[in-house]
Amino acid sequence: MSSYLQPITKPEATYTIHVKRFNPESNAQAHWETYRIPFVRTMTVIQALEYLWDQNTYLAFRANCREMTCGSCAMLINGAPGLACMTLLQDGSRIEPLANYSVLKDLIVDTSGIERKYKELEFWPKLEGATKISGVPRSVLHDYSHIYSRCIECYVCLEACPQSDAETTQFDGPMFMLQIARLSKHPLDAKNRPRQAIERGALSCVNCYECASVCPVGLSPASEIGKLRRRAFTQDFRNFWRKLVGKEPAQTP
Amino acid sequence: MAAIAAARQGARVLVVDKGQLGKSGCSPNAHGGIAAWYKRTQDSYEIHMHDTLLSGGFLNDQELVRILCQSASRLVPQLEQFGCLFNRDPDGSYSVRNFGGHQYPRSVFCGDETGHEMMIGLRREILRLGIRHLDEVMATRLVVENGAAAGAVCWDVANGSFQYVKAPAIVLATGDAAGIWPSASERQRGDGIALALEAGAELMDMEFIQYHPTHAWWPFGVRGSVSESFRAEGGHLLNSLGERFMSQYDPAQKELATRDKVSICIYREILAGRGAPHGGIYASVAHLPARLIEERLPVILQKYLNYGIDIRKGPIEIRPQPHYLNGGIKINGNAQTSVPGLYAAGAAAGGVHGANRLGSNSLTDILVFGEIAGRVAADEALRRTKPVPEHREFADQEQRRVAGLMSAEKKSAVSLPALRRKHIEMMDRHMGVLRNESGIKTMLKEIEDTRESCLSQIAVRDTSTKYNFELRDALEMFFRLTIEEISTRGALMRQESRGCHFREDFPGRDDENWLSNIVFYKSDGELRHELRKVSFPSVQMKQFPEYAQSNSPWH
Amino acid sequence: MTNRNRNLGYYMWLAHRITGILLAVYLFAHILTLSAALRGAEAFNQTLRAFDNPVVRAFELGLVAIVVFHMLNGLRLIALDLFPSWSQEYLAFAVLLISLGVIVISVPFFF
Repeated sequence: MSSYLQPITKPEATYTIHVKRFNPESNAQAHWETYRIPFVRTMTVIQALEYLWDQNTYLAFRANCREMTCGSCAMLINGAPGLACMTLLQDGSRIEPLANYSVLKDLIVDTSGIERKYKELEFWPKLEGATKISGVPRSVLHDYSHIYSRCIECYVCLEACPQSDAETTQFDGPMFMLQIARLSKHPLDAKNRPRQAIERGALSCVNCYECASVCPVGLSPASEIGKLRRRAFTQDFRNFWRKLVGKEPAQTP
Repeated sequence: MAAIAAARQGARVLVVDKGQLGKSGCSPNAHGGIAAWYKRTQDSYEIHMHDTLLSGGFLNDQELVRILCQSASRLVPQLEQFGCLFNRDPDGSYSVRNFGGHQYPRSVFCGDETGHEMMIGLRREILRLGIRHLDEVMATRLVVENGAAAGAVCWDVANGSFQYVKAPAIVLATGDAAGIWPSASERQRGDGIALALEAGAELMDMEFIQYHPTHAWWPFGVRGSVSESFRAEGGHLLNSLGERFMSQYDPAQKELATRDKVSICIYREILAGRGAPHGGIYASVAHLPARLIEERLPVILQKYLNYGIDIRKGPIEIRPQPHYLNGGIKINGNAQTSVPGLYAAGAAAGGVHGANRLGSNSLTDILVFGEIAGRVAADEALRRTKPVPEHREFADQEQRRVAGLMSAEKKSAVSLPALRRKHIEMMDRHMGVLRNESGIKTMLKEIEDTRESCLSQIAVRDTSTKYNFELRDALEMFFRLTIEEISTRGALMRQESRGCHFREDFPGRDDENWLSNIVFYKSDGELRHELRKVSFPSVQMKQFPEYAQSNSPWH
Repeated sequence: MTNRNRNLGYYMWLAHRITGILLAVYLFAHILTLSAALRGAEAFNQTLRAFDNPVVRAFELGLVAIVVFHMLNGLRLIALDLFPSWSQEYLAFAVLLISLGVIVISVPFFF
């Protein structure tokens, strides 16, 4: 299918999929369309969509790497948010765009609000003089290569979280909290990240762990939120104690 | 990287991205590492240079290679300031990983998604510096005025409008053209390279398409390359008899020989009938401790688990697939092309890697030359005293050209997807790992036929203005034909085998006649070519007697 | 809220919300009931006798279920905040199991 060379195999079955389509220029409303796809075992949703392109049905969707690295292809598959490139195709799959954001066309949604938030949150290390890293604890390195670098910013957790959507200003969402956690562990960062997390609504997390159960790369943003909250509490408690005994409150987390 | 360097110089920068910033192209997919850290005391940038030149068959531009190796180290700490973090050894220094063709391990990495980590840092830095970026906008034409770059016509994929962006200095960091072949890097359609040619720039080494030896082949749903770190961490390549066949082809380097060599060896095994059941070959890390796999190859582990395969327990089936086009736009040490004001960096540029690229050299390439391109381009733009003229008529022209392609009624004689499919399959068959004259001529004929008959018959039936991917495919088809033609003509001319270019009818290396780069350019609308002998300013081939005396295409 | 499979933690959260509201309602009702004491011992005893029937007892058993679940899940949430690396699913199972145990043990006390 599409532009990738693949082993020549005979399709094992014909699957039916339903795609919610919307063309802002012609349809007034979104509507469901049904397509038939020749199926081979372990075929993914994105391969089904590419097959449609090969049949001159150019429905609009975002995709780039097709291997769980770029995070472009998030959509709702059978009601659950996930990456099209990694979700195995099932007979009767219902494919629709993410529900939290306004639909631009077919399966493409408007994610400009998310991009704006990146600037607001200052997602870069706040370097205060320090420019070289001398030593990094092993736990931090492990966390980076297994957790923080794994986040591909695909917005699936944002979709699953019951406490945040495109309009909520109270709580930014699990993905942002994870990125804050990432920076909190970066050796060069000097900003008080646990405090920033609380300010951006980390207390709104209800520990439902939906974000962890839908994350395509197996991360648990809820755990990271928990860790940030714990560090914020510890800070607050320590500062309270210091004030009590007459010392200056600690600046760094 | 270029945008960041340019913004640092104080220039006004606009990043135009065909996809979403930080998510498009192939940089996020890069798994392995950045060859930039000379940790062992015996290692140095000179040895890195030697390795790169040997791998590239000495077709590399030595000046570019020298700059690459000398500047690499200082960029790694800079990335960490942007927010990246690389693996480290217990003593606090960077961990380095070995890659095929490198004498010493020198590649800095983060898990097995170094490229992604790098993109996170770069993307954040762009946001921090407040650099303007246009997402999902595709450049369709570069405008040259009085022999110098003046601007570009950009098509906004999201809303369908055509804009003219005036710019006295343009940096093409658009990636290579691996997507002309059936590649996992399928979004790399060579736009920048084709645009540069039309603008008058020179292209070189376009016939060298590197096949990455290990691409996921089976199960059906798995995509993407299986990183070289799979082999670097100790993975084995096995044929259907369970033998480590690479020990026969290259007893010294085995699986860590250079990619061109490994790909051909795998092909030979498959053609000899010792391949895996679905047309690939086996690769296995099952003999390694599970903890090492979980530590060093977490992404590959997870990816395959999604399809029900545990790489800790059994082999996977892989096959060489097109991965990286070594050639590209010809640049000098300042990332300048032959067109004043036009710069190129990274995979879009050629000359750094010669006939074959070393693993993990690409990330180094894009960082080093990205930085240079941005810096020099910004300098040039700032030194400019005359104002840059606005040329909206070019945008209107493009709009009319595109409107001519759209027609809901015209019964299209050619289906774009079918045409694309046919071409990529033919490119893989005739312009792939094993080439011969008749195959290449068949491809050339197909290109000429398509040019003459099909191009005029392309009709985009989808008339929507927003997110018209059919139109995008159509526009890319023109770029595709340009790249195909140049690559094929180059392969036909080069009657020898070197690096990634292997001719069954000329299986040996011919240093007497072919230590030259084939350079293409357009003059008065005609495609012309030139053979330019490679110069040897610093490293001589006779420093490597074993290589110089053999006529093997590879090192 | 679309119809799909959600993880156990999600339903725990939902149940926590609902039991919380029910407890608030109950608290109000309980205060109202006990306010009978302000009207003297006889009025109070009369109120309590009115509640001594199987239907009310069933409701009271339900109250035990609600209280024990809300309390244990509350502890679970505190534990998740203090020890974020603990598995929330295992804790959820523990909460449900212990709640069930307590409810089963309390049955003879009501019937």
